[in-house]
Amino acid sequence: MKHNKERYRLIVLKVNGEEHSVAVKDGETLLDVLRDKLRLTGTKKGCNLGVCGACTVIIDGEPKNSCLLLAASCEGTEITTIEGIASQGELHPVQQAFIYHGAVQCGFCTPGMILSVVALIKDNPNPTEAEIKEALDGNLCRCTGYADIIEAVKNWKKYLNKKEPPSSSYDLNKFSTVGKSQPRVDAAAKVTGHAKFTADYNFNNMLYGKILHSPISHGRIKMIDTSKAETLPGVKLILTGKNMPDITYGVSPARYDEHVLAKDRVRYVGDEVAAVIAVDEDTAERALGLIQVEYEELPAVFNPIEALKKDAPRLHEKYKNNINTKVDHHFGDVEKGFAEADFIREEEFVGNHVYQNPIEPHASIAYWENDGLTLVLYSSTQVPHYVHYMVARVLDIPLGKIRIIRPPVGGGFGGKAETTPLDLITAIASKKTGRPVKMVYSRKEMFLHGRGRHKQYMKFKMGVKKDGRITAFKSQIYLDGGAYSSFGVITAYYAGSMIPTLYFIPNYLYEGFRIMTNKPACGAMRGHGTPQPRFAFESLLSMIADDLGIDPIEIRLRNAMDPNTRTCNDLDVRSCEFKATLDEVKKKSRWKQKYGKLQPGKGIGIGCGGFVSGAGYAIYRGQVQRSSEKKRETFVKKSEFPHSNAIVKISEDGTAAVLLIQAAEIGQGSSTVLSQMCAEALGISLYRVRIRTEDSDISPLDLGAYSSRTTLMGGNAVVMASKDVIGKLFTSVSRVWNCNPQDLEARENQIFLKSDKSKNMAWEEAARKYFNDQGPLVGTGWYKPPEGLGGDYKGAAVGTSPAYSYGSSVCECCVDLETGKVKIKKFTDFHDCGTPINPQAVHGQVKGAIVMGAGETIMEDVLYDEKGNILNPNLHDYLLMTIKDSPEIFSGIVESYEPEGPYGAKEIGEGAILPVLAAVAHAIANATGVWIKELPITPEKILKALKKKF
Amino acid sequence: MIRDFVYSKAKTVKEALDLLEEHKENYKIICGGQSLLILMRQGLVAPANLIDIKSIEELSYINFKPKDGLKIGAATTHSDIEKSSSVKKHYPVLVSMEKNLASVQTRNWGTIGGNLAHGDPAGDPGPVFIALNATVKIANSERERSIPLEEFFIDYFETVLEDGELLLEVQFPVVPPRTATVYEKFNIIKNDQGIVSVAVSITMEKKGSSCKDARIVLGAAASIPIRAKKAEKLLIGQKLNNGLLEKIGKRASKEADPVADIHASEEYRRHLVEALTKRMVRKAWDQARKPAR
Ligand SMILES: Cc1cc2nc3c(=O)[nH]c(=O)nc-3n(C[C@H](O)[C@H](O)[C@H](O)COP(=O)(O)OP(=O)(O)OC[C@H]3O[C@@H](n4cnc5c(N)ncnc54)[C@H](O)[C@@H]3O)c2cc1C
Ligand code: FES
Ligand code: FES
Repeated sequence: MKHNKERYRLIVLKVNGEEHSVAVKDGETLLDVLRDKLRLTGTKKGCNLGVCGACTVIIDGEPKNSCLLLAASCEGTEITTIEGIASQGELHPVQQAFIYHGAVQCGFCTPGMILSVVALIKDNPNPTEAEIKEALDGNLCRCTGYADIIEAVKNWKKYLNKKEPPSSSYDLNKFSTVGKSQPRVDAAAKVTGHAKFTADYNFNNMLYGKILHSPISHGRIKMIDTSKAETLPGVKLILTGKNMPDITYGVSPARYDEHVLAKDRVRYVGDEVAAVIAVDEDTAERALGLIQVEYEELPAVFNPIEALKKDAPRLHEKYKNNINTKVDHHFGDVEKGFAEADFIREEEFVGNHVYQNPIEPHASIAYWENDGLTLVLYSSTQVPHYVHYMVARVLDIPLGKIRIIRPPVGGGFGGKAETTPLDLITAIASKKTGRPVKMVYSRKEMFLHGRGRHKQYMKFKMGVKKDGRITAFKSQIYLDGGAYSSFGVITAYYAGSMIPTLYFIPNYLYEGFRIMTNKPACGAMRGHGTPQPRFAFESLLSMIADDLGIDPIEIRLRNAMDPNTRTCNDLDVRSCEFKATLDEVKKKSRWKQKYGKLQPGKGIGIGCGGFVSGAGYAIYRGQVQRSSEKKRETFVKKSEFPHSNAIVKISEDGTAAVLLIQAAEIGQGSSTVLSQMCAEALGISLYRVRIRTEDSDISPLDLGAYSSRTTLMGGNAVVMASKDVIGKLFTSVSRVWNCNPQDLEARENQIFLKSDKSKNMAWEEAARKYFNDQGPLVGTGWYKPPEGLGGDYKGAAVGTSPAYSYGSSVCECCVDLETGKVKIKKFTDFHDCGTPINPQAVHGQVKGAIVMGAGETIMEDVLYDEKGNILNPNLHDYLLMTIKDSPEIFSGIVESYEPEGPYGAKEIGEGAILPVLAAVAHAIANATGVWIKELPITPEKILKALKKKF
Repeated sequence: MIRDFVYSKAKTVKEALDLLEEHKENYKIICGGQSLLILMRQGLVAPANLIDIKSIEELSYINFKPKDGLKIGAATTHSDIEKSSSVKKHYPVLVSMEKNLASVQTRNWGTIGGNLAHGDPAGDPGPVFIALNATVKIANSERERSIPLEEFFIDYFETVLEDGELLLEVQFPVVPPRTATVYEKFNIIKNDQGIVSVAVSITMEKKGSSCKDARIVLGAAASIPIRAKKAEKLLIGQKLNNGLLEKIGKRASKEADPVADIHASEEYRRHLVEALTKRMVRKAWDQARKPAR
C-alpha cells in the first residue's frame, strides 16, 4: 500500500463559473469529484460506465459523461452542471418546459437530460424531432417513455418569456383541481438538481460499506479469514454471518429465508458473504479483495424444470423438490368446459428474466440518534413501511425506535419493494461503529440483488365456442424463482389470479409452481407475476381468433368483462369500461383498415390487460408491531390496521395545508395526485398544499408504492383527512354565521353559503379564526380495504382489490424480413383508470409502460453462463430502449367512476404495462406470419422461425 | 474502483513519446478514456502509469487536400469528424458512420485514435476505414512508420502497436472517381455496437458498367475487421445481377469467422453478414453508377 501522500494531487476545476481547488486521486472521475468533494449532487451516477447519461455535464460547450472522465484531465475546462443552469433563481426555459410537459417523473435522468438539451439548443434552437432524438440518445430514461421529453424540447421556446405556462387540453371540468393536468409538485426540485436522492446525502464523519458477494452459485462456507483486510488502513469494521443477528428475513412471513449475510451456505453468485465498512468506498472495495473465503462447492441447478427432478440439488431443506410455492386452483369444471367447446387450442410459452433497472441504484444510509437507541435509516425504497417492519424484526427493536426516511426515489418498478442488505447492514454497522454508514449498489450489484421478473414457463389450453366465447381455460405455469422466496409466493398466485378479471371464463384451472434455482431471487416487477401469463393468454386468444376467422378485437369484445361482476375466482369487479377501451383503440388505430391488409413486414396487433388498484391485504398479518412479540397469526378476511393514513395540518395563518402521508413517491407521481385530492377536498388551490411523505417520524403509515395502490388507498385517506379539517372548519364558521355546517361549501380558497355565494369568507381567515379559538386545525384520515374481499379458498387473498383497471393497446411495427429486426412504430392505447386525477400523469405512466413493455418484449433478458454468472450485468449488454428506439405513442383515457376510489379514481402505474407485451408479439406475428412464443422476441428468433416456415 | 496509478499529461507528441519511452511496459495511453476507463473500472486493466494525450493539440486536426486526400490526427474526436464539412463533402460515409457510433456524450470525448488502438472488432471505424483504404501513421521516440490499416489489427483488442509507440494519424487516399463507399451495422438498439457490420466500397470502370475495384469489409464477424476478398473477386470485372449478388453474399458469409456470444449465435452472425453484404453491395453499386454526385 502506497502512502496516501502520493495518491493525491491538487487541481483547479472551474465549475459553473466558480473555481475550486481540490485534492484528487489520479483515478478519480469528474463525477466522483463533483458529487463527493464539491457536493454538487445534481449530477447523478446511474451506471458509472458511460451508458446512461445521468452523469452528463457540459464541458466547454459539449455534453460529456462525467463518469468516464478523469477529474485531472478536466483542468482548464469550463464545466457546467445542472446547478449552473437556472440563474438568479429563474429557471431556464428548458427546465420550465420539462416541468409543464410532464417530462419529469422520478427525475433521476432529468439533470443529465436537461444538460444535453441545453447543449443542443445553444447551436440549434429549433431542433427537429430527429435532431432531438440524436442529441438525447445517450440519456436513458426508464420512466417516461421519452415522448413527453421530446414534447418538452420541441416547445422549449415557449417558455423564453412567459411565466404562465399554456394550459393543457385534457382537463375535466367537474372538479377544481382533480382531473387537471397540473405540473408535478416535485418537478422544480428535480429539474434544478436540488432534489436529493438517498445517495446524495452526506453526513459528517460518515463511513462507507461494500459487500463481498459469493463467486460461486452453490456452496458451504468453510472458513472466512478477514485478518488481512482488517489491517488495511481505513477499514473500520468487517461483518460476516457470524456477527450478524441469527434471524431470517424476507417478504412473506411464512417464507422468511434470507440472512443478512450468509450463515454457512451460499446459494447463488452474488449471495452476500461479508461486508466491509471503511473511510471511503475505495478502501472498502480494496479490503473486499483481501478477505479470504474457502467454500465447499455444491452442485447447482439453474433451470426450474431440472430443479424439480428427484436427484436435483436442493437449495433449502424446507422446500421439497425445490418447490417454494404450489398453487392448485380450480373454478367451475374445466373438463366440462372443454367438452362444451367447439374449438380447443393448446400452446406453450416462455417468458424472460427482466430486470427493473431503475436508473437510480439502491442506496441506504443509517445512523443512530444521540440516545443511541433510535435508528435513522435513509433508504431508496418504494415500501418504507415494510423496510421499517423488517429492520425492527432483524434488529429486534420496536418500530417506534426506528425512523425511516425515504428521499425521492429514482424509479423502482418493483425492484425496490423489499428490504435490502444495504438497509440492514448500514443499520447494524452504524450501531457498531457509532458513525453514519452509507452504502450504494453498483449497477452490477443491482443485478445480483435481483428481484426482477420471474421467468415463467407456461402451458395454456383454451376452449371456445364457434363464436369465440371462452368455455374453459387451463394453465400450468412454472416460475423460475431464484435462490430465495422474496415476493415469490404472491407472484405465483398472481400469475393465475388475474387471468379471469378481463374476460368471462366460466371454467378455470390454474396450476402454479414456483421453483428455487441457484440464481438471484426474483420478485415483484411492474404487473407482478401477471404480464407474462397475460402475454401468453392474449397471444393464444389472438391465435384462436385467426383460427376461427374472427377479428381479434371482436373476439375480445365477445368475452369482455362487464361492470359489477364477480369473477370465477371470487374477485369483485365494480367499475369496468374494458369494452370501451377496445372500441376506442379500434377506432383510433384505424384497425379495420389495417388488420390483415398490410404488406408483408408490416404488422398490427392488439393486447389487453388490467390490474389491481391496491392489494386487498397487507403483506404481513396482524397489527403493526415487532414480529418477535406477535403470535403466529391466522388469516382473517379483514385488514387489522389501515393501509393508508393521512394527516392534514393547516398552518397557523391559514394559507397552507401540510399533507402528511408516508406514500412513497418513486416517480409515479403520487405526491402530486395526493396533493391534488387534498386541495380539492379542502377547496383550496393546489399551490397551498405542501406534501411531506419522506419521514416516518412526521408522516403516518402508508404501505408504499406497490400493487398500484397509492392513488386509491392513499387518496381515500387524504380525502378523509381533508374532510375532517373541513368539518371542523365549517362547524367553527357556522357558529359565526349562525347556520348549519351542512349549508357551507369551500371552493377556490373561499368558504361560502351554498344558497348565497355572496356570503363568504376567505379560507385562511376562517382557518385563523379556528386556530385563535381552538388551537391547531388538524384532520386525520385512514383507509382500510373493504372487509371480506375474496373467496374462501387457499390463496384467495391474492388478486383481491377494491377496484380493477382495464386497458387495450394496439401496436404497429415493421419487421425486416431479411434480418428479423423489429422497429416498433406506433402505439395506440386507451385505459380505464377510473377518474384520471391528473391526466398528464396518467399518460406519463402509460407512455413509460409502453416503452418499458416493448423493450421487455423484444430485447430485455438477464442471461447466465453455465456456472450461474450473469453475462450482462451492465447497461452495455442488458439493452434498454433509447429515445431513438421509442415509438410514437397515443395515450387515451376512457373515463369511468369507481365507487371505491377517491373521486372515482383507480390505478394506472402497473396496469399500463399489461397490454403491451401481447400487442407487440401480435404485431410481429402479423408482420411476419410467425408467432414467437418465447420472450424476448429477438431478430434471431424471428429469423429462425421464418426460415423454418419457408 | 479504479486502481491507483500515476497520471501525466503530455502537451506535445515529443513529450508523449518520451514518457512512453521512460515508462516502458508499465503504462497505458489514455486519450478520451471512453474505452480505457471502462476496462480500468472493471479491473481488467491496471497500469502503474497513465499518459494522457488528449490535450496534445498537434494530434487533433482534420486536413483535406484534393491531391493527397484526408488526414485525421489521432486525438481528433468522433464529433469533430462528424461535423467536419470537408469530411461530409468528400467522405460522406464517415459522417453517417459517426452519427451512429455511441452517444453524443461519448463522441464528444472519444477519439479516432483511441477507437482504432482499442482494437475492438465491433468498432465502427475499422471496417469503413479499411474499405476506404486507409493507412495509419505510428511513431516511437526513434522512428515513424506507416502501415495499411488492414494490417493494423491482430486479434481481439490487439493491434500491431508496440510498447513505446503512439498512433499519430489516419490517412485516407483520394477517393477514385465513380466510387461509392457505404456502411451499415446491425444492432438491436440504435447506436449500440454492431452485432455485425459491413462496409463496401465499389469503383466502376471508366466506360461501360462493370466493377473495376471492390472492397468488402466485415466488422464483428471475426477477431478483427476482415476483408471478404473472395467475395470481392466475384464482383471485380463483373456487372452486378441478382444471381451474382446472392453468390457474393454467400461467399462473404463463408469468409466470416464469427463467434457466438450473448447477442447472437455464430449461425445468425453468418446470416447477417450475408444479408448486409448483399444490401451494401447493391447500395454501393447503385451509388457508384450514378453520375458524379
Ligand atoms: C457507451 C459506449 C458506446 C460505444 N459505442 C461504440 C460504437 O457503437 N462503435 C464504436 O466504434 N465504438 C463505440 N464505443 C467505443 C468508443 O467510442 C471508442 O472506443 C472511443 O472513441 C475510444 O476513444 P478514446 O479516445 O476514448 O480511447 P481511450 O479509451 O482513451 O483509449 C482506448 C485504447 O486506445 C489506446 N490509445 C488511445 N489513443 C492512442 C494513441 N494515439 N496511440 C496509441 N494508443 C492509443 C489506449 O491506451 C487504450 O488502450 C462506445 C463507447 C461507449 C462508452
Ligand atoms: S453514470 Fe455516467 S453514463 Fe451512466
Ligand atoms: S424520469 Fe427518467 S429515469 Fe425516471
